[in-house]
Parts: sequence; structure tokens; C-alpha cells
Amino acid sequence: MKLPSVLAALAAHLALLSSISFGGFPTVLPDVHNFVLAAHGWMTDQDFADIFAMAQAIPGPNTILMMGLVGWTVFGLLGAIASATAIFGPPCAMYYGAFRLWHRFRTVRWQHSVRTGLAPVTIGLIVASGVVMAHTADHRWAAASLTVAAAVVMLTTRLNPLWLLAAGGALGGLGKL
Amino acid sequence: MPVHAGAECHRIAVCVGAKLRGAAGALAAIAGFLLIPGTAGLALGVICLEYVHTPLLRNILGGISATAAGLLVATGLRLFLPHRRRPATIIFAALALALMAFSKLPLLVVLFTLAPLSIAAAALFPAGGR
Repeated sequence: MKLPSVLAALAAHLALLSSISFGGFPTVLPDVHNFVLAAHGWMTDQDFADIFAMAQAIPGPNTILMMGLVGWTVFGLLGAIASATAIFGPPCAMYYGAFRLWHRFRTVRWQHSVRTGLAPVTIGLIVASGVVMAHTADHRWAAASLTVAAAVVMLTTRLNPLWLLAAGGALGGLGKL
Repeated sequence: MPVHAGAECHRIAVCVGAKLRGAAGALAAIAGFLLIPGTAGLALGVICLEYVHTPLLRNILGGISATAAGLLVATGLRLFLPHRRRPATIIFAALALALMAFSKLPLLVVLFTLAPLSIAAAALFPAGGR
């Protein structure tokens, strides 16, 4: 049995991340990866990549799935509940409070600056997330090529990304990676 | 371009629920969009974790995670394209990418360093800053 402090540290960190992440799920991935692997060694790259894949493939709220499964791996059922709550609680509360204010000031000039200023940071964080996950998941050239191919197809066609995920899963299942 | 690039349905649901029915609406939205599908998905995920050591499942998940990593990169690039002529966007997006992916700094540090600078740049040079 792991120490309760592990559970508290994980939940507190996820609550902090969900409070400051305005770009959603992808923007927090590199930090979570760093926190549970490099800083604490609670799981392996393989575990993290597996959970990431499941959160993408299983329908539903994928942030909650991802963090819930991270919590499960670190601390069982309690970990799953604490992590899922920590990741969706703060933003829900903030959205409820901030929505009216944000909406009321939507035409004010500073709001435009905030939006324009946050956009590039969000974009950089999302790309960083993809880079970190590719680094975590791709141990062979075939897998890395699949990552690049998926990005190219996604950028150049209007194909539903679910088809790409299915194709990637099939290629993996056939042992091609 | 919305601030909430990865705006997830639960956040939208909370906003819509709050707008239509106040606090009760927000709670109902959370239950409908999070609790039920979240619990079902988690249960399925936990079952998968039980069998994750079988080679077939591991290979399938490997293919999915490799693909999903590419989709994330593409999502970021797609959001970037409309802003590609704005120098400040290129600089701050590149800084965020480099700091988060390679420096191993916490998100808190990266965000609270870059976001104020980027917002200041947007306020001072609305056209993009040259």
C-alpha cells in the first residue's frame, strides 16, 4: 500500500494544473508526464503511453479518462476518483463563475488582447504535447513514421480522426510497428 | 481563434447548463456529460489495464498512441496556420513548445512566464509586432 501523501500530491498537482490550463487536455500532458514519471517514478513510459492510447480510443470525456487512469495506476480506485475530481472540479467551478463576467466584457479591448496573447502559448503547448507523447510512445522507426503520417493526413484531409486512430490501432495489432 | 483551443464538451455543457438553468443546470450538465460517461469509460479502461500485458492489446495501444501523438501535433499546427504571418505568434508558440517539450519545466512556470509577455505583446502590437 502506498502512502496517503502520494494520493494527496497527485490530486493537488492535478487540481493546480486544471486550474491554470486554459487549453484543455493537451496542454497539461507534458507536465503530467514529467510529474508522474520523471519527478516521482510512479509509472513507466509504457504505462503512460498505454493510458494515453486508451483515453483517445474510449469514447467520453478523455481528460477525465486519462487522469482517472493515471490515478488508478498510481493509487487504485481512490486514486482514480481523486484524480478525475481534481481535473474537472476546479475548471467547472471557475467556468461557472467566470462565464458571466467573461461574456459581459466580451467587447472590451483587453479581452481581445488576452485572447490574442494566449492563443500562441496554447498552440505551442499542444504541439509540445504531441512531441512529448511521440517521444514517450514511439520506440521504433515504424511507430515514429506512423506519428508523422497521421499528422500529415490530419492536416491535408478532412478525414475523421477516429478513422486514423482505428487504422493506427489495426497496424499496431497486426504487429507492423 | 478561441482561447479554449481544446474546449472540451464538459466546459461548454457547464456554460450552457448555467445559462439555461443556473446552478442546477450546471450540476445537471456535469452529471450528464461527466459522471455517467466518465464512470463508464473509466470502468472500460480499468478492464483494459488488466489485460494490457497481452501482446495483442499492447500492440494495438502502441499503434493508437503513435497515431494520437501525430494528431496532437497536427491539431496544434492547424491552430497555428491562421496566425502564421503574425511574428509574435511564431515567437511565443515556439517558446512554449521548446520550454514545455524540452526543458522539463513545470507548466505553471512556463505559463506564468510566457502568457503575460504574450498578452502584453498582443496589447502593444495588435497587428502582430514587427
